Formats: sequence, C-alpha cells, structure tokens
Amino acid sequence: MSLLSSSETRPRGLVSRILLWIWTRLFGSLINSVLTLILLWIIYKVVRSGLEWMVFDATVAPADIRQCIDNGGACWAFLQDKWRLILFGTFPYDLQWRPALALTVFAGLVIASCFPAVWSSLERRRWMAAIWLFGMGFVIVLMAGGLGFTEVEVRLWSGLPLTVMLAAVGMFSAFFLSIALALGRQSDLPAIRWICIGYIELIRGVPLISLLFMANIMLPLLLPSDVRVPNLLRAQVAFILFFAAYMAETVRGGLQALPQGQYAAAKALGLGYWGRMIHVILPQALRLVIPSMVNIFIGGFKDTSLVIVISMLDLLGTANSAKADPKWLGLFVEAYFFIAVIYLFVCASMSWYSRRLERRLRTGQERA
Amino acid sequence: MTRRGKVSNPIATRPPMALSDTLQRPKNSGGRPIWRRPWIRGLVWQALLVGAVVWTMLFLIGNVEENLPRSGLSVGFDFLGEPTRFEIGANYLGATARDPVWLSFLVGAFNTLRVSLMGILICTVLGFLVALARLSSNWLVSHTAFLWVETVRNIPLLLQMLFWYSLSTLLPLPGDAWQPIADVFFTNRGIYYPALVLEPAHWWVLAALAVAIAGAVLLMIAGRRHRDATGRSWPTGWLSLALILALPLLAWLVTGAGSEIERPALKGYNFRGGALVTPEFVAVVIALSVYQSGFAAETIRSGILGVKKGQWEAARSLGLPTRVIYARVVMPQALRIVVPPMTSQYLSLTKNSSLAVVIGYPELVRVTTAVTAETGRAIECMGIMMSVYLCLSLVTSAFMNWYNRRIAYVEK
Repeated sequence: MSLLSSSETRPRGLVSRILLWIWTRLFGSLINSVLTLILLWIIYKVVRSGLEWMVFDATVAPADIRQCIDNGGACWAFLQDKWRLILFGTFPYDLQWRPALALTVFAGLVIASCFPAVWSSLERRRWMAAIWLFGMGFVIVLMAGGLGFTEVEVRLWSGLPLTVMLAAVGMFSAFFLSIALALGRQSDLPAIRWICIGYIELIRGVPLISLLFMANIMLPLLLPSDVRVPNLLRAQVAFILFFAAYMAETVRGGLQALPQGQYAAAKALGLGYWGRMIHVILPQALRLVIPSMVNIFIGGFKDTSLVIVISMLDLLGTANSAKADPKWLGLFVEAYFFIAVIYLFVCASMSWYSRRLERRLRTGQERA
Repeated sequence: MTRRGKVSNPIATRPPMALSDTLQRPKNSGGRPIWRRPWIRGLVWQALLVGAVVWTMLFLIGNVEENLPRSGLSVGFDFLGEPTRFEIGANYLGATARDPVWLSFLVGAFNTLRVSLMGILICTVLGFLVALARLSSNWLVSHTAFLWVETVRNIPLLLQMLFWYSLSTLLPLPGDAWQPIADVFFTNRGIYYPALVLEPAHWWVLAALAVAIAGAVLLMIAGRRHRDATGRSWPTGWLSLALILALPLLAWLVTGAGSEIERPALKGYNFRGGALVTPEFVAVVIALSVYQSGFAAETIRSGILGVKKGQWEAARSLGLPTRVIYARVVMPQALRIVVPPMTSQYLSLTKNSSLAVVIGYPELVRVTTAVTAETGRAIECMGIMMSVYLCLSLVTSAFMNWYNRRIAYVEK
C-alpha cells in the first residue's frame, strides 16, 4: 500500500486515481473486500426499506389512519396534522409564529457567536454583548408578550421553545456557578474546598432524574408552606445545580492544565486573588476547555428531555401527547422520527463544531 | 470593598510604582490594616460560606418540621417493615405486595444492577467493535461506524427508550404470537422462551463452575509467574477453558442433575411455563447499550490512537502479525488510557438506567416513587435512593482507582 501511494507511482488521470482510491480504501485485501461487499448489501437493504417506508409506501394528507395502515409506510398525514403541536405544544395556536420567530432569532444569535471573528476585538465584543442583550429582550417579548403583544402565560410554553430555553438558560447559569465551584475546589481555604468537593461529588453521584423528582416531591416539604414554586422554575434550578457540578470538573481540568508559571507570574505582578483569576488564569483556562464545554452542552440539550418525568411538555412531551390522540391511535414512529431528527441536527452540529474547535486549538498549540 | 477596587483595575494601568511597592513589602506585613491580611480574609470567607450553608440547612429543616405535622407525617424508617401494598411486577426475588417495603427497595436496586450490568456488557462489546471499525483502513467501514456513533449518541436516551418500548406494543397478542425460532414467542407482553426446570442439584453445577473459575484465575497467576521466572509460557488459555467446561459438566453428570426443559405454551389468553423477558427490560437494555456504545467506541478509539506510533513500528519490526500486535502490544497499553474514562461511562450508564422509570421498568427510582406515593415518606425514600446511587459511585471509583494503580506504568 505504501508503494502504491508513494508519489512516483501515483497515476495522473482522474479516473485511474478514483480507481486506485476504490482499490486501496475499499478492496485492498480479501477481508476488506468481503467487509465492503457485506456492508454494501446491508446499506442497500436499509436504504431500500427506508425509502419504501418514507416515500413509496407513505401516506400524505388528506388521509386518515385507516389509509395509513393499509399503505403500510410512514403516515405523514399524522405529522402534517400534529407538527405544530409537537413544535409549539400548548402555545396559543394563532400566536405560534411568535415562538417560531423567537427560535429563529435565538438560533441566529448562537450561530453568529460561533465565529471567533466576532469576539476578536474589545469593540466587537461590546457590540456582540449589546446585540445579545437586545436579541434576548426581543425573544422574551415574543414569548411572554407585552409591548403591544398579547401576553402568554409561562405555563403554556412548551415544545421546542421550552427545550431550548431549559437548555440555554440552564447552561448559561450553570457556567457561572461552575466557575465558582471549580475555583472553590482548587482553593487553599479548607472549608471552601471541602464544601465544593462535597457538592460536586454528591451531585455527580446521583442521576439527574432523582434531582428532578426531589425538586418535585421534596421541595414542597423543604420550603415554607405559603411559597409555591412553578414547575418550570423547579426543573430549571435542578438543571442548573446538576450541570454546574459537571462543568466544574471540566473547568478544573482547564485550571490544572495551565502551567504553574502562569499562577506564579500573576502573583509576581502583585495581583490579588480575584485579579489573578479574572485577568490571567480564567481567560486561558476557559479557552482550553471550550470543546469539552460544548460536549456538556450537547448532553444538557439531550437531557432536557428528562423533564417529562415531572409532566412538563418539552419536545419529547409534546411528541408523546401527539401520539396519544385517539384519532391517530397506535402511531408513534413518525412523531419520534420527527423529534429525533431535530435533536440529531442540533446535537450533531454542536458536536461538529466542538471537533473543529478542538482541531484549531491543537494546531494553535503546536504552532506556539 | 478594597478588593473590588483592585479587581476593576486593569493590569495595564497599574502604575509601576505600586507594583514595586507590593513586591518589596514583607510577606507577613504587620503594617497592613487587619482586614487586608490574607489569613484574616481567608477566615472571613470561610466563615461566610459555612454560615450560609448552615443557615440554609437550618432553614430547610425548620420548614420540614413545620410542614410534616400539617400533613400528618413523621420522620422515621419504621415504614420499611410494613407491607408494600403494590405489585412490583416480574422480579427474581419474588417480592409481592404483602412483602415489606425494604424488600421492594432491594428488588429495585437489584433490577438497576441487572439492567446496568447487561448494558455495560453489551455496550462494551459493541463499542469495541465500532471502535475497531472506526479505525479500519476501509473507507466504507470507518464511515459507517462514524455515522453510527454520531447517530446513537446524539439522540436522547429517553427518546430511544420510549421508541423501543413503543415498538414492543406493536408485537402481536399472545394469541397469535410471532415465533421466529421454535418455542420462542414474541408477544406484546414480552418474549417467552424455553427454560431449564431448576432442581437443587443444579446448585452443585453452579458451585463447580465457581470453583473452576477460581482455579482458572489461580492458573493464570501461576502461569504468569512461571513465564516471568523461566521465560516459557504454559498454554493457560486452553487449560482454563478446559477446566471451566469440564468441571461443571462433571458435577452435572455426578449429581445426576436433570435437564428437563419447560416450553412456554398458550393457556387461555397468555403463555404458561418457560421464562419471560419483559418488553420494559428489553427496551431499557437495547436503548442503554446502543446509546452508550457510541461513547464507548470513541473512548476505546482514542485509547488505541493514544498508543505511541513507535510501539506499532517496534512490534512490526519484530515480525509480529497484526492480531498479535493488537492483543499483546497495543491493547494492554490502550487499556491504561481507556480504563479511567470508561469507568465514568459505566457509572453514567448505571445512573442513566434510572430513565427506565419512564417506561415503568421496576428499577430503583420507579420503586422509590411508588413507595413515596404509597407511604408519603418522601425524605426517607429519596434519601435511600440517593445513598444507593452514591454507594454505587463510590464503590466503582474505589475499585477503579485500585485497578488504575495496579496497571499504571512503573517508571524506570
């Protein structure tokens, strides 16, 4: 193989280069050829039955469940009937353009922030902060109403906007809490260190679902009897407390990966503890952990689906309520397929971004 | 307050005079005002945090003491001895509604362990295969494996679990069960399959198996000693395989244990006889192992990639075949890299098995919520559940720390 790929024997023409690629990467040896053929056969089978289900045997509106069952394929009529319920849940039907616009604005802000160029100078950073503040204000007005828009109660928020909100607010708040926890865990002061270690290990030792149940079952016992905490807030707080512990460990990794010289140099400048941390240590440590942070974000986004155990209607919850409609009884694959595609798209994009960042970071380090 | 002022001072604008000033100041500066001495500040910060934690605790406990009498409840673990009053469903300990509550918790913990161990086993094997496929020089194989990893780990576990569980509802009723292999019946109540009728003599076979495994382990150790001492190896692999096969077989023949197999048969509306795997169990195990296999594959892959290139080259130049290079050179070293992250993945799989509560598999969280609903003892039940998970975590990490120390490089 090394002989073939060396530059002297590499063929010139496009066709022969393609043939060489096919030969070396697909059929090089007997085992490889057998594997390729078996896999090709499986892929053919999967793609064919997938196409049959999704296209050839599928049923589109107008149709009822009987026709769907007769055709045997996917029942897109069911989705065409339910997609707005799945996406926006109990949000008032006529106002559903508002969460749609809010999601678009939010997605635009996130995507724009993914380009390192927008954070490159102080002026640009100020602009970004202003745009974020303005954008989030707009999103809140769209979701909650006010300023001339009809008001919508928070308990009606559901579906994709709820999922995104739980994840975004949760991750954002958990991030700041996690920095405090990580610094506390690295602190020289024993009481602070041990409280932080205890918190982090306790939270990381139990499943998220138990925290959600605790927020649901135990909170009424733990708070004064006249205090009523809305369901959404409970779930949100449980989320923040849970992910902060995981992020804290990641941040700690960054703090430990930093050369000791940085700590010593910052100290030699005469900076106090907070000055050292804010101006010297954290900016470098946090940059190191961005890829792992993105991975925690992915986990957080997926784990928002757990709120269905305290009967909240996130994206998975609305899909479940769509499949409970007696008109379409027995259909669920289409609804699950629909939201799986949404989750897959969001998470795979984040995962792609994290891999890219990691590569950039690595090459950056090698160059330095 | 002075501290805050210091923070907002950008480094650049700090006058050089002040800098040299700080440097020249003696470390234990008696000249500083008392609130600026580091140890005083440390004490104050710690006292503040401890005070806040204690205050929060007292506040919560006070509320509980106020709230409990109002709802007619008390705190205590006496309810553990009372009858459960609900059916847990199929379980190996045979617990029923009349058995005490503590037995239900035991069943829950046992079921959690059962699905977790199954999941760990399958996800490791699957993850290993996918990792090897990801590293394959075959473009099609490596990209299919990549697609698998990205798909299974980017769809929420709960969604996957619900999907598999809902799929089981599409299976036929016991009346017209689907029978892909003789005497194995797929129905919407689970999978029925033939099972061995247990007799007391089977315990002897099991004991013989345990003895054989212990003997095999001892043989391995002795074999390694022998190899270290003489440089020659015994065929320990074959010997222990023979031991593990032969000893139970011998016990089976000697004790005259029966081999009567009971086949499931349709009686009325359901199957009788044989053994049953519930759809919940199948859904949980499939979802857990498929979901976690994506993470496991990436961990194993990075472990294999983490082995230095020189090791491969050295092994090749010795003329070792690829299979031996993997088994004797690469994997032992990759294992050192893989074990710590793999441990935390096994732990997270165990914690993730709690999602099974959603489809009604009777694991620990399910039992806890059911008992809480039945007895109203939220604090005690949550406490029991959380301590079980904490214990699992602590035991696993203790074991893995020991293992890590054992296999760690001995630097020379």
